[in-house]
Amino acid sequence: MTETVAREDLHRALWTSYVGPRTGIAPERVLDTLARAAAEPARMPLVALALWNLLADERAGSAPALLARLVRDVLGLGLDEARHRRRGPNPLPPFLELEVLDANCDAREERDGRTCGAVEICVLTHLDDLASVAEPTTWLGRCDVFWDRLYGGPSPGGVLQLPGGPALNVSIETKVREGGLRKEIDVKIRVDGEDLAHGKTVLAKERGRPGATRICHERTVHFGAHLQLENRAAALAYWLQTEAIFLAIR
Amino acid sequence: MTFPVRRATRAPARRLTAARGTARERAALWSAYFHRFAGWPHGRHELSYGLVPMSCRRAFETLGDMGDGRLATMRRPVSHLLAAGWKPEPRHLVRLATIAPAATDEQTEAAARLRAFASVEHVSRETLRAADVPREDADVSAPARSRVTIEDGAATAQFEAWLPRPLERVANLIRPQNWFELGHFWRETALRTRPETGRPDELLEHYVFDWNAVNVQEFIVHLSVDYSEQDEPDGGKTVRTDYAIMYEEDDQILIDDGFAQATQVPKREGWTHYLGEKKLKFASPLLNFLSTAIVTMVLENNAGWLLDALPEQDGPK
Repeated sequence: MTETVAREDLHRALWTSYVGPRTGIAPERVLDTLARAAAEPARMPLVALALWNLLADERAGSAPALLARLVRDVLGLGLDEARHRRRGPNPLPPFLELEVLDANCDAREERDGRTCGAVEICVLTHLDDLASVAEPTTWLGRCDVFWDRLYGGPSPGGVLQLPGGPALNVSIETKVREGGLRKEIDVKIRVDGEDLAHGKTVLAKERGRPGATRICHERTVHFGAHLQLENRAAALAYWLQTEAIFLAIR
Repeated sequence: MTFPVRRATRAPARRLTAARGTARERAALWSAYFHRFAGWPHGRHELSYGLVPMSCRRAFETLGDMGDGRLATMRRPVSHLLAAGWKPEPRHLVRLATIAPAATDEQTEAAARLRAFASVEHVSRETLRAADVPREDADVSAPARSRVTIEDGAATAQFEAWLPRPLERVANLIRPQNWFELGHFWRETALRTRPETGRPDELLEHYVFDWNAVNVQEFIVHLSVDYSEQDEPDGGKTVRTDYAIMYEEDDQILIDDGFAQATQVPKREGWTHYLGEKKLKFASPLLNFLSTAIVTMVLENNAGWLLDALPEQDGPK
């Protein structure tokens, strides 16, 4: 029986795939953690994201046999073909569970300690099938690598664990606008009443493509006030990509 | 396997009596767009015999025979004939004046009043993608316009107009099961519920093009369709049908994608913003040469029928 991977270990391995070995975790250990996570269907999309990051690094060949097996099992590709595709423009991997029509990811640090990012992904899934997943607490709860604890109710909140930073007790404020053409979700995350992050997520039917939905997931984070993180843009990219994928995959 | 079907078809009696007239109308309509877009008002015989369109004069006279309840449908093709270089004869001027919108200046000739209806811009694909819901301060009196572009060998046209009708009335015709009301090109439509999706999202349409008075081409197209409504934060409302081809039964069409969208803007009571877009690519290289004209004709004709099918009740405020 395969051993279940600890959430914290997976979080560290995923984060390492974004920033490289500076986290102090050896590449072999990252692959080993990803291999154990790949045995859990709910973790497969996260493993796919991490593999896509590792494939961008030409040095990530220290355990080619394990990497090749993971790439085959999780992405459905041979290692050479996966590396070739990774050199193309697509910032997201070919998920086995999801048909992605196009995608774009952008995260950058701006002045005043703000970091802004956006992930846009168009998937071949009907909006009606995604809208139920997009209930904010349910959705964030699926991204459990970022949350030590999460609770709903009239005053939702939880314990947020951003990579490389301390656990933060946060409150979450959401506003949802439903509709047949699009669903909009505004999210504000506060620490001790101060803004940590705010953003907007829109799931909209793609014009002229029945059955396709475009997800635009944007967020601005005030890392400076609460977290002394290096690689803020990478941290936000990791956070947003994870959340966007768990919106797109039911 | 049988599918739940909502079928629309013309009543047999009406079909028998009207078929000849509607075929001539379709041929005249196509001829007007051919002359405008292919630019051959005097060289139409260079086409193979089966595709030779009507002359400009004959196209106008056929369109002019349509009743006055169809003025919105007539205006654009007639304006395209004029823009293509057709010179009306004196005997045409009375009918031309009734087709043109009412003059605000009596010295303005009918042909000049129709000029705005021939507006077609050739734009980039990015310009089309940028088009979205209208602003509150939009000028509803601005003339409707078509924008066209070619991308990957497919012609795409977008038609934008303010219609002096309330959204509730327009929305009904945006629903795919009612497209049949929007012109003579549809011989039959049927909305089906697909077992694999459980939604009424497949429209079978039997579509007819008359290239001239003798040659007709038929397409039986299976479209994936999706109709949706959205209440906007400003109090307005948007309805839209997206569609994309699944297949044409004789593989004559490779791409047929687009949408029809109608939006109510709160400060423009009684008016509806209409935006239609269609991308079309045939299997035939010759038809692709003509596809810009075809796709613009279909879009503009649909918008004309939107007005003609919804007679004015109370004027916009």
